[in-house]
Amino acid sequence: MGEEAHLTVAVVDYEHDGERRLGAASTHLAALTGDDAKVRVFIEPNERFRLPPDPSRDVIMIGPGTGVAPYRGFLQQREAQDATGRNWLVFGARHFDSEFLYQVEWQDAARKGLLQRVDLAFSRDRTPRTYVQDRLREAGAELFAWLEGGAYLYVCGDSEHMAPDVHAALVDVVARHGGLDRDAAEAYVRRLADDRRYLRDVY
Amino acid sequence: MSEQSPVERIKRDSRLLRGTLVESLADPLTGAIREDDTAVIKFHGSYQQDDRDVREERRRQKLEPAYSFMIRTRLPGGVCTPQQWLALDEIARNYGNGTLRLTTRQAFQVHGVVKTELKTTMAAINATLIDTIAACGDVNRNVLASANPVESRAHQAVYEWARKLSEHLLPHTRAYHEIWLDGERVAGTEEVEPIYGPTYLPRKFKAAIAVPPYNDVDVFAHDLGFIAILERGELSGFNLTVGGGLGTTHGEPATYPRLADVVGFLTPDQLLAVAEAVVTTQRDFGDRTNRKHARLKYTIDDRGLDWFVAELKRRQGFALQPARPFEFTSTGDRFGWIEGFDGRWHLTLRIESGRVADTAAGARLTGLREIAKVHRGDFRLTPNQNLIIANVEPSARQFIDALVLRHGLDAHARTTPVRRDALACVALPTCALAMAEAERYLPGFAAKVEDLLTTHGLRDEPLVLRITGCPNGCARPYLAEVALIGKAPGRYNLYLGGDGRGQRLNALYRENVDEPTILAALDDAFGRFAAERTPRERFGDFAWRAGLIAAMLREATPA
Repeated sequence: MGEEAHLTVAVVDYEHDGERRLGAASTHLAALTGDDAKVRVFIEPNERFRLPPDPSRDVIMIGPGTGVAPYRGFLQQREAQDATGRNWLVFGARHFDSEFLYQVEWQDAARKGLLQRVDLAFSRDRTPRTYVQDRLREAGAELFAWLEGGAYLYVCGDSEHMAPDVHAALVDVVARHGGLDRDAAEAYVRRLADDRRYLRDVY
Repeated sequence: MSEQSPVERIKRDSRLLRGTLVESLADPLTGAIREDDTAVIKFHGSYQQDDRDVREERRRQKLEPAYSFMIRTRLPGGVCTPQQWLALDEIARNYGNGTLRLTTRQAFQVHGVVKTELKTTMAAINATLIDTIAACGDVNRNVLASANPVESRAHQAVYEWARKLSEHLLPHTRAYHEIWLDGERVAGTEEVEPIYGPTYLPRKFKAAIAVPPYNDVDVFAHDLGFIAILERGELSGFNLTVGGGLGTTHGEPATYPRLADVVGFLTPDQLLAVAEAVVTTQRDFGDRTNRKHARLKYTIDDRGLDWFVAELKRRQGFALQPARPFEFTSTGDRFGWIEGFDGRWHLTLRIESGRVADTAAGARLTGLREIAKVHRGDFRLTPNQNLIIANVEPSARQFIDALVLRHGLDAHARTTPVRRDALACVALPTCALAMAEAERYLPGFAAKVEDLLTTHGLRDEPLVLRITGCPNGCARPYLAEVALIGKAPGRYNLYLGGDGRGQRLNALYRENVDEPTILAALDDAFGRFAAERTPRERFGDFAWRAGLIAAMLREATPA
């Protein structure tokens, strides 16, 4: 962003067997304050997690929590390319009030017409708890229509729970709205991945 | 002709107050509503606000301001049932910030409701048979009536008239029911606003009914006022007052507070017709080009009181009788237990700044909930932000007293007159208009004033102290004996000279001063008051007689 490099970091801080566990890297980064704090970084590129070469293609960006980070760059690139494809962001966190990462940037993008659709899931703001995969199911008809229209789908963030849950929701949506049985729906999603239209950067 | 103010366009385009509220509420990206809708939603009884304490921090976090909504009820005369109290208490804890605020307009405010819960909250309030229609906005707002109306049959009659007046001046639009209560759109029928028309009034409009000798409603601060005239304990009619209004703007001398004029007497059956004539005259002649010059007080001053009275007569179809004599003795509440005409009892409690909350000082929200669970009478919110537990059987008094004591609700019995009668508006952190602290500042400041009074042997003197965070006048500061009106963080204009009866405006004494300067000025003034006062003279009266305020005026005017 201009002269700045931004890191999106969730601090690992939890209790296990009555003992507090802190993530070494995230705690270190979060403790850095002041203008003179320095941190050495290197970039581990994920060459597969890239925008469609054809800017007229639609993109669906699913990234709860810190998984939203790459989509800031995605939108900047789409804007720079004057991409004609539509952009759809699916974001989730625990609380709207405090964890809607880069909220004002998404608002600006929506205002400029750069984001055609946004779906949000804030799991702790209401019961029952809702997550991004629930939003995907709710928006199933439109999601399937975008995929049928050649959209690229991106998933970034937690690999343990989120990515499998989103994958399962995707298969459900394809089965339901594509009128396919389970095997056929799974084959459809596998084909998306083979065609590099279903791309994941999960950790 | 000058251009109409932007709010006039918003009103005109709102399709009788619908605006794009439905779309605004559905937008998940933001906790705010669209800018035009922030004007429209006021007519529905809500203001969009944000926590100004965290604005800058959130900006750095790339988060929008912490938006939330204040919801204000319409509660004519401030009367509600224990069931309604319990419902509002629950609403405040479930959807609000866990506090209820009793306002200077005898209404409840619930603060801190987030957009996604706004509709649920509005529906919950309406389920208690209390609505929020026209609690804010350019319409007639909640109608005040002297608190404790059951003290005599006449008080009861006055309360009924306040209720009828409020109903009569309600907007007729179905927008409120459609948006908040899933009301059906009535197809085919043309919707009209018979009194207001499609652009409502040029500005807010306030009405009150006072029952002498108590001017707790501050009737002269209202656009439209009625002073009940009681003869042998029965209501014979009202004196009409018009053109009061307090709000001003710093640095704009064309804006000023104005006391209402008493223009005549009317019988009770004429009240609604007279009120409608006043409202429609203001609708047709009020200034719609400049919101700082749009209240009825300016309409009357611009065109003359005689013109206004003649216009009323034309619209009413009858003339008013000459005004009848009346006398006010105070604007404060009568604290403690009072016996009503029918042998039932009323207990007035001090609620500082009207904030009902569980704090270190006492579990007042909990306490009033416990009282509401067993109370068989009703509650009355007073125009001084206090609360009356009304219509109590003599046998229930002891039990209520015990609950009052247990939950720290007995401030009225423990504090000095200055702290007991003080008012403060909400101001920071939620009010968008605030320039300085008010509610959060009152306890500390009042304690310091109390210390000064004590030093000068004036501890038990009545003194009306009011603080507002801006010059718009929510806590009616221009009628106080000592008032602070916010200029900037930690800085206020200091006013002196109200009469304690709501019939004289105060005057600027020190401009844009900080706390040490204010306290030094008050120390001097109280010292002179203690030494030079005549028996029973009030501080506000002394300030004029001794020339404190006139002296200031000379200082301010270069020779």
